[in-house]
Amino acid sequence: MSHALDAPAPSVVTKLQMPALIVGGIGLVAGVIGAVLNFQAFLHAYLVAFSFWNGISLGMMLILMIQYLSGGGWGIILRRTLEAGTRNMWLMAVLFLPILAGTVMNKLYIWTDHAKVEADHHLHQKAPYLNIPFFSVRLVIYFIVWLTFAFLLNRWSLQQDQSADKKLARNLRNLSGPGLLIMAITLTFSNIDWLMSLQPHWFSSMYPLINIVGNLLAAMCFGVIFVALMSDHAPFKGLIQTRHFRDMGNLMLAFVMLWTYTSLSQLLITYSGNLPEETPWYMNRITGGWGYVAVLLLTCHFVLPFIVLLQRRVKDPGKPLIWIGTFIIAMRVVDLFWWIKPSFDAGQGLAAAYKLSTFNVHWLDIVLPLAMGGIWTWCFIWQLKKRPLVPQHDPNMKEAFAHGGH
Amino acid sequence: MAAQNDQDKSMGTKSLVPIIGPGHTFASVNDKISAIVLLRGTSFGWVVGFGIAFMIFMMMLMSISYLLFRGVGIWGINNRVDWGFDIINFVWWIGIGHAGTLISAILLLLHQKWRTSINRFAEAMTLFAVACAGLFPVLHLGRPWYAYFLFPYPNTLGMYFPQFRSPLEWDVFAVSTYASVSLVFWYVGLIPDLATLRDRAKSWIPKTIYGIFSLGWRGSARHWHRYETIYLLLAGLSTPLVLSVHSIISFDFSVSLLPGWHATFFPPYFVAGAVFAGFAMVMTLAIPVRWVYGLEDFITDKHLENMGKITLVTGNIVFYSYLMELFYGWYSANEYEQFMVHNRLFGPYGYMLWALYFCNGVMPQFLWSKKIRTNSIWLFVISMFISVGMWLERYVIIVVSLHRTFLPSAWGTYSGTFWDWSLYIGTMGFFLTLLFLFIRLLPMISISEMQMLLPEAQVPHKEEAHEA
Repeated sequence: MSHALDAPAPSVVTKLQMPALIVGGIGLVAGVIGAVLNFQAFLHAYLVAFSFWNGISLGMMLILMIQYLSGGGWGIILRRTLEAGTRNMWLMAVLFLPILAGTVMNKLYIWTDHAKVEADHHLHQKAPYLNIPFFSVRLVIYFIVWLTFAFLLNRWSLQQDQSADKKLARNLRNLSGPGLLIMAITLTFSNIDWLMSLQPHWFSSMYPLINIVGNLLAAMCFGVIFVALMSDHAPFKGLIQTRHFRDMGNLMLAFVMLWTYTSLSQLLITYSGNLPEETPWYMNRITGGWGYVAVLLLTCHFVLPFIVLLQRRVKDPGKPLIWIGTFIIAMRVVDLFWWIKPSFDAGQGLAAAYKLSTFNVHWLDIVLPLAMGGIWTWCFIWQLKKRPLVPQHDPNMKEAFAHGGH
Repeated sequence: MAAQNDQDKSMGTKSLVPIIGPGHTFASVNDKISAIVLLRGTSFGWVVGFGIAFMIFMMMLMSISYLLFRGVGIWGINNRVDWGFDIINFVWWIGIGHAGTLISAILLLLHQKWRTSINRFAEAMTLFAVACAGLFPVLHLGRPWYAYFLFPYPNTLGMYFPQFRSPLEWDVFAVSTYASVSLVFWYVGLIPDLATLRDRAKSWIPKTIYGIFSLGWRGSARHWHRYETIYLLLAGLSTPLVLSVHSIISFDFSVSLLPGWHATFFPPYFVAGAVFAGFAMVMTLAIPVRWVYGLEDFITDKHLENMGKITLVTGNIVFYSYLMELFYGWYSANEYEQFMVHNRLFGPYGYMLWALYFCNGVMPQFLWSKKIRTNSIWLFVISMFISVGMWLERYVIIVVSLHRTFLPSAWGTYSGTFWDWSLYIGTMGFFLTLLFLFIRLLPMISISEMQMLLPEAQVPHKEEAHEA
């Protein structure tokens, strides 16, 4: 424990802050121009970007809770990176505003259109849930819950650094158990509200679970990328061991497999059922050019990462995980794009059978995820610099970093 | 020793309850576990217990005989509800087996050392549960002597390929793979212990029998090296089985169109339910066994607490699924789905649903309390509730969805007959008979793995061989 545990964030990370801000700033300007030119196209791209970056913050919160319950050195090493990500939760609350505006202005979801709701039996039936006031109430509840968890997790962890009070470790564990349950419920309903209701005739109980797994995967990759970048510098140098990277690589592998398991199950069950409410969702995503994206996801979101992450020589040194993590994150954006984009030019309800989506990309679809990523990453590094990179006084500390054992 | 103490201290509150009692040595672990098989002899209590179990097992054989004589008409199934007790019990038993696989495979890969004292027992339970489960679909065929039609074998009937598009066919492969991998895993783990029994047995009969089954194990370094390698490989092979078996069983329902069956989240929902039921059964059996044989040093309160935690987690996943079933039933805006929800809640079998929510939704919530998680009586009671709840869950899913489907003129009701119950209860006798024999004839706790937990066995970097 002779390492300088309170060393500041190394330059390998802090030097990324300025480029992130530049990307974010240019992207923001481009985004505003795009919004003025074509608000609807802006919203469509914005929803992908928001779902992705919000998912990273939420996924980090989930992993933070999981590691308090499971223990293990990987969790202690990742903890400050994850905490910095969850402190971006307020940013996501602010960044939700354009989506709320799009909803209120009836530009994003068809269930906000009164005439359409009245004319459609299914939409009319769902109106008690899918309406703007209730949507807004739920939205406020989600963010209050998420911000509260982020606040408590960060506050107690910082207090633990300062006071070494044993009670705090217990508090954090006691929060994490019920916390995960509440997170699962809020994530499920926010997914139904924000993504599933884009095609409100369609429903799939697996969909929110795929999204949760995707968030976990992307957040894990993001965290591992930063830890691997900093691993040669104080305070991580000498502290991180091969087995920590192996654990992190195995977790990435596990989430890749879970993503495949949940996605494949949804496809198989929908395919076998062949019901008019469900099948158009896939029809829109495997025809009209979208099939190539689906094949890309199969090969690059599953097959390639799966094969690569099985190799110890990739996991053990840690550094290769930077490249694999970046690759998986890119695929996660493609996955969200494939989920969201075809919803907009596809026929809804009775029209679903004869009006299928064709592949299309708007320049904002590429600019906005990068722009939001720039702003998110800038804030993230700013938060990361605020605290020592290794938490102190964790009761599992000694065990996790003992040489040889576990 | 000092290193171990140091480690214990550093773990803080977590290791206050250790995973092996204090003061044990290699010899005392050997003595204590092997004595149950070799020295204690056949106790009166064991004979009584075995006798009762065996009589119930005979009831199963009688039920099967009568079934073969008369046909499936003696069951309660009818034209409307054509899947009844047979499939409910099949899913129930298969689910129970899952704890064994999870403990032996996934917890091994996750370096959870506490699994050691319960894995042998749980794996045996898996095998016996799969044996019970396998009976039901075969008997449900009506002509079980044609069960081999399910396998793709070269024949003159032009049936090289059975209906591969049916998940019932996938079950054949999933369950038989599961049974064979579990058997091999269990047996490989037993080999060093069988050799111990061989060496310690006094009379020539057990010496010969244990000798044959220990395959010439001498405990050389080469033997151990190969043993560790194959054990890790089998753990890797078993891990997907935890997910695949119950996922495929869930496909039996979810690939159909029936409201209450066709839901995309069925696979993880069923897997969580299976692990939930499995851990409840492990606790139901381990708590009395540890009490009867005085094994509190090996199956400690820490074990019970950890099992309680896994039960709580999986129980909440299952409860989430119940609530989501209700929500999506409504959100679908499909009148059949909505009717299914209404019929479940308030239909003729409504009381079963509420009982199910109580058993699987309310009772596990007590496990949030550490006091209850470390109290074996509480755990035993909660486990019993869960076992009943998981049976009710399958009853609700299968019967309640089938009895009122799309066409009201085709509605009907269902209830199990005497022969349904006698076969179901009979399989419990079958299960317990096998379990009694297992406890009497084989070491129910892994001797060699328990010895590895001792401070003397803690060689630096020893664990490297374990890591995936």
